[in-house]
Amino acid sequence: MIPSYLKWAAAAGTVVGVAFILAVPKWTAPSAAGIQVGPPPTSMILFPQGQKVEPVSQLPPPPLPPVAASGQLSKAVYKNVQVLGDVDQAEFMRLQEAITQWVAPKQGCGFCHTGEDYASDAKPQKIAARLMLSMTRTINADWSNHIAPSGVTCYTCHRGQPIPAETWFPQPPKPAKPWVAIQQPYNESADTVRKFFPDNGWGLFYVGNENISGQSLSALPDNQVHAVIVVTRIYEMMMQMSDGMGVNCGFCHNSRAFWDWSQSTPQRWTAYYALRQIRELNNNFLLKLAEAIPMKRARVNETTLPVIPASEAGIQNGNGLAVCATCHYSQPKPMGGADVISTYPSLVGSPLPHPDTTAQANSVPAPRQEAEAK
Amino acid sequence: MALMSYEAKYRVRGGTLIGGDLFDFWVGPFYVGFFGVTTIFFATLGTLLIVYGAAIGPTWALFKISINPPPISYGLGWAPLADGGLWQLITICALGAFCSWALRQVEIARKLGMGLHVPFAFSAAIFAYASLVVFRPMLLGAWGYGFPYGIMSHLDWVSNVGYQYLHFHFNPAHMIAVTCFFTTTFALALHGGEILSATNPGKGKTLKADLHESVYFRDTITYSIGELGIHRLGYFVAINAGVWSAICILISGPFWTRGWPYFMSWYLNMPIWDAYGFHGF
Amino acid sequence: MARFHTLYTAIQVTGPEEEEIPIEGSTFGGRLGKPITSRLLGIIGETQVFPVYLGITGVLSLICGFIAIEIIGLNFLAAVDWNVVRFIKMLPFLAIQPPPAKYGLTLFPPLAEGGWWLLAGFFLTASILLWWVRMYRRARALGMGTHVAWAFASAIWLYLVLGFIRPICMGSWSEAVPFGIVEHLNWTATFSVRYGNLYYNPFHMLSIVFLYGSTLLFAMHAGTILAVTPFGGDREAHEIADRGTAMERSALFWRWTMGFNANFESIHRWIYWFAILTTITGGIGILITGTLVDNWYLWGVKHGIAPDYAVISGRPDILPPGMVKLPSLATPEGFR
Repeated sequence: MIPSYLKWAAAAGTVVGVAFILAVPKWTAPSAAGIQVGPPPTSMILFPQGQKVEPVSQLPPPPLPPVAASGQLSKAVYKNVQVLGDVDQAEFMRLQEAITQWVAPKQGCGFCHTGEDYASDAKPQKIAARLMLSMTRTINADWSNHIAPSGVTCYTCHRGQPIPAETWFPQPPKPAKPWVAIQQPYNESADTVRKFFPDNGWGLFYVGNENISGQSLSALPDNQVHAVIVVTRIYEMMMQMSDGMGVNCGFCHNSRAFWDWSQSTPQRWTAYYALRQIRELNNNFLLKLAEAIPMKRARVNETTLPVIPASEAGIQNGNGLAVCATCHYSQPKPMGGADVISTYPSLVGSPLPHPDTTAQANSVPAPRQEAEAK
Repeated sequence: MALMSYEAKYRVRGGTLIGGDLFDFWVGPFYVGFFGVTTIFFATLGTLLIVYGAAIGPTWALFKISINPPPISYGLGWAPLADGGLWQLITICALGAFCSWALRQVEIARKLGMGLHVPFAFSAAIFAYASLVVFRPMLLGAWGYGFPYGIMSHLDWVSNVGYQYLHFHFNPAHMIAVTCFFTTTFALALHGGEILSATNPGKGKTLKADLHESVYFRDTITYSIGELGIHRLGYFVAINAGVWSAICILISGPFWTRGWPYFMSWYLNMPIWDAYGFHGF
Repeated sequence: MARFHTLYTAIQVTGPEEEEIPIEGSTFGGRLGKPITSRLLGIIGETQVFPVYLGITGVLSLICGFIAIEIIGLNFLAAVDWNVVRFIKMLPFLAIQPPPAKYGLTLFPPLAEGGWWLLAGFFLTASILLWWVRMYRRARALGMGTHVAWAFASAIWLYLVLGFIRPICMGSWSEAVPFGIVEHLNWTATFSVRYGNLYYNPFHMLSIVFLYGSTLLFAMHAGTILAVTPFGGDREAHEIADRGTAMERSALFWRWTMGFNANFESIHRWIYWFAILTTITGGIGILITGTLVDNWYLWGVKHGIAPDYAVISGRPDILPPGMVKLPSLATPEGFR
C-alpha cells in the first residue's frame, strides 16, 4: 500500500516542480524562422528567434536631416578640434547633435562640455569622446572587410547610453590561496551566464594575440603538442562570441572539422577580420580609455555611471573592453545590418595602409596617428 | 518447421487486433498477423527506397551513403524526390514499419496471455524516433530539420545539432537522459552478472537461487531490490532514457534557441543566493 | 478488489525473516545491522535492508573513499571561503583540476596546481580497487560465480584509462579528467574538439552501439519478465534450472516476433556482454585517442568513411591572411 501522505507529497511535489519548470526559465515559442547556412544533411542552421532580449533598442534612430555645407572647416571656426578639423562646420555641428542623441540623450551637451567654454577639455568625458571618435573613424576606414556596407556610429555600441550595456570587465585577480586547488575563474556575482563564465578566452584572444587554433591537422600524431587547455579557452571564447551575436557554431563551422575553411561558411571570413578588429579596438583605444577615466563600478554588472574618486578606483577601472556583444547585442548584424554610415560620412577616417601580410596578420597594428593630434 | 519442443501447444488462434483468422498463422518461426503483412510491406518498400536513394547518390561506399532530408526552404510540404522527397517517403515507411512491429508484438503477447510491457516500451522508442523526424520538424516548420539516413551523415547531424546549442551537455533533459542510459547499463551489468553468478557458481558447486542473490547484494551494498524489483527498475530507467532523450531534443529549437549554458541564468538569479549578501562579491 | 500489478507491489507481504547464510572463510567485523523493513522500498522491491557485510576490504575502501571525498569537498569549501551558501550555489562549477601540462607526470606538483587531484585520484582509485576485491570475495564466500566482479572490472578499465593509463601514455596528467560536475562535462566537449570529433572514432561508435543496445536489451528483457510475472517469470534462477511456462512464453514471444530467441540463462549472457562491452570498447577508444590517432575526422577521411557535402556558396577563394597552422611545441605563455 502506498501511504496517503506519500501520495499527497508526490502530487504536490510534481505540481510545484512542473510549475517551476514552466514558469521560471525563459522558454521561447516554436517558430519557423530558422535559416539554413549549410547543405541540408549538416544541419547548419541559424535561429533568429528566441535570442537574448537586450536592454537596448535594436533599431537605428532616424538620421538628422542633412544640412547645407557652410564652406568653412570646423578647425577654422572652433578651437581645440583635433580629430574632426577637416569636416565642414555645419556637418560638424550636425554630428555633435547626433552624438548627443546617441550617447547622452538625457545628459545633453553638458555631459562632455563645461559651461560656456565648449573647447575646454576639463571633463574627462570630452577626452573620452575624442578617443571614441578616433576609434569610430578607424573602424569605418580600415575594417570594411568586417563592417561594410553598414558601417558603425556611436549608436552601434552606445544605443543611447553613456556606457554600453555589453562591455567586458577583466576580473581582478583572485587572492592567492596557497593550499587550495585552483578553480576556474567563474564570476560568482554575475547575474547572466555571459558574465559568469571564465573570461580567460577574452583576455587571450580579444586583447592578446594568441593563435585561435588547437586542433591537429594530421590524422596520426605528428609530434606537435597541442595542449588541451588551449582548446578549452578557444571553446569558451567561441561560445561567448556566438551568444553575443545570437548565432551558433554552425553559422561559421561544420563541427566535424572546425578548422577546415573548405567546409566553413562565408561568415567565418568576416569573423576572422572582426577578431583582429576587436584586438585593435581594445589595445589602441579602450585600454587607454580606462586609463583616461578612472571610474569604478560598484558592481560588475552595472551600466549606470557612479563616478568614484580615483583614490578609490581599484584594479578594475570603469570603462570595460569590447567583445562581440558590445556592438552586436545578440544579432548576427547589429541593428539588422542597417546602413548607418552613409548619412554620417564624417565618421569615416582616412584609411591607413593596413598591415595585412602573413607575418603580421596576428599582430596588433600600430596606433593610427591622427593628423591633428598633439 | 523450426518448432521448439514445447511450442506446439502454444500455437493457438486468437489475440489478433485486426483481421481475425485471416492472417493468424506462422511462416517458419515468425508469426505473421495483419501487422506482419504491413511490416513486410513498409520495411521492404522503405529498404528499396533507401537502395534507390543510394543509387541516385554520388557513392556506394557504405559509410558515405546518405539519404538527405529536404532543405528547410520547402517548409512542411512535399519535396521533389531527389531533393528530400525520398527521405520523406522513407520516413513514412519507417514509422509504418515500427508501428506495425509494435502492434504485432501486441498481438503476439495477447496470444500468449502475456502483459503488453514490451510493445509499450518499444512505443517509447518509436516516440523518440518520431520526435526527431516528425514532431520537432513540425514545431520548427520544416521537414528539413529531420536527420539524414546515412551512417556517418547522421552522426555529423548529431554533432552539428549539438553545437547549435554551443554546449549540449547543459541541456537539463539531456543530463537526465544520459544519466538514465548509464544507470541502465550499470544495472544491466549487475543483473546479468548476478543471475549468471547464481546459476554458474563454478565446478562442483550447487546452483544458487533467490536467497543467495539477495544476500549477495545485501552483503555488498546493504540492499537487494529483488528479482521482480530489478526488472521494474530496469524497465523504468530504460524507458526514461528514451523518453528524456525525446524531450531533450524536442525542447532544443522549438522552445530554446540559445546555447544551453545560457539557459542557466535563472539559476544565477535565484533570490536565495541574494539573501546572504554575496551577490555583490 | 485487490489485483496483481506488475509495476508496483499493491499488497506487501511480511513473513518470517529469511535464514542467514553463514559466510565461508574468515570474516572481519562480520555482518552489521539488524534487518530493517522498509515499506517504502517494498512498493518497488524487497522490503529488507541490512545486514551488510563489513570485511577488511570494505572498511578500507570506505575509508579511502571518504578521504577522497573529503579532499574534494574541503577544497571546494576552502575555494568559497567556507561560506556554505556559496558552496551550494557554486557546487556544480567547482572542481579539482589535474596538474597543468608543464608538470608532465611528476608525482608531487604543488597542491594547488594538481597535487590535490593526484591525492584524491589515488585514494579514489584505491577505494575502487578495494571495492572490486570485496565484490569478488563476497561472491566466492557465498559459493557463487564472480561475474559481477568481472563486469565491475570492465568499468574500472574505463576509469583507469581516463585517469591513469592514457595520461601516462600521453606523458602528462593534464590530459586527465577533472573532479567536478560541470568541469568533467567541459572536459568531454573539449576532448572531442581537440581530437577532431570523436564521432569518427570507430571504438566510440562501438561503445555507443553497446550503450544503446544495453538500454534496448534491458527494456526488452525487463518488459518480457514483467509481462510473464503472473506465471512466475521473475523467479529466474528457478526457471533456468527447471523451465516453466514463463520461460516458454517469453521465448516464444521473441521467436514469433523476430525469428529467434534466447532462454532464461542465455538472455543474461546477452545483457551481460552488451553492458560490459560498452566500457571495454569505450576504454579502448579513449586510449587510442591522442596516442595512435590525433584527429579522428581526418582518420575517417583517410579510411574513406567521411561523406562529402555540397560546397557552401559565397566563400572567398583564398584563405584570410596568416591562416597557416602554426604548430606549437609547448603551451603558449598566456594559458593556465
